[in-house]
Amino acid sequence: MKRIGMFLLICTAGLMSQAFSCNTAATARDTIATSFGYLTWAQSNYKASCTANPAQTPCVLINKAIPVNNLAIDALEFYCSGVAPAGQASFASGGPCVPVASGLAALNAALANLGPIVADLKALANAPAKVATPVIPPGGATLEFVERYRL
Amino acid sequence: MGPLTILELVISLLGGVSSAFNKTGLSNLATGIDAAIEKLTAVHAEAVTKPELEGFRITPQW
Repeated sequence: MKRIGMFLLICTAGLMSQAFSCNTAATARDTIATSFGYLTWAQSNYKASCTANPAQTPCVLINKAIPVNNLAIDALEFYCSGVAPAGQASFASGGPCVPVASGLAALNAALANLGPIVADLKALANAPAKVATPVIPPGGATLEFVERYRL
Repeated sequence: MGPLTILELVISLLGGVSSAFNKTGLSNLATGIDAAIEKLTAVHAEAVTKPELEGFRITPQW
């Protein structure tokens, strides 16, 4: 009975470690996917304006975020590049993620750098569209003026 | 179908254990194992692949 208990414990530990490794990679992948989503949106939304004047704050933020996004991909790819089990394709050849423990610190650091960037991009996406500041006409704001600018 | 991964093998083994528990009337244990199988299958379905990650790379546009 003791032996069966020990066997079950080892199996459970093995299962948990496999599941957690998969979760680490999947969570990292989801963070990168989120960053990718905001970045592609921002690039497309600000393309015309940033091509004309790349020094604007959103344009600088977007270009600053790109290498951080790509670095997180590199870190996750390294984390997943463990030796594939016999008969299976390696991660580089399209096989499953095989976690490398020594790559975890670099992956966590890359994700920690990506977090604030994603938050900034999110803020950019949620910022209200800029509208021209209304100039109150001489004689005061009419009802029509107030309605037009929703003052 | 490609070669079985460790996770697929474990899921398949757990399926056998669950079925055995069901046959012997230990349905509570079988239900617990079925829930574990469901979770592991979900983890497996969301496996990370290099082609998917490469699709998230971005190049500057200005």
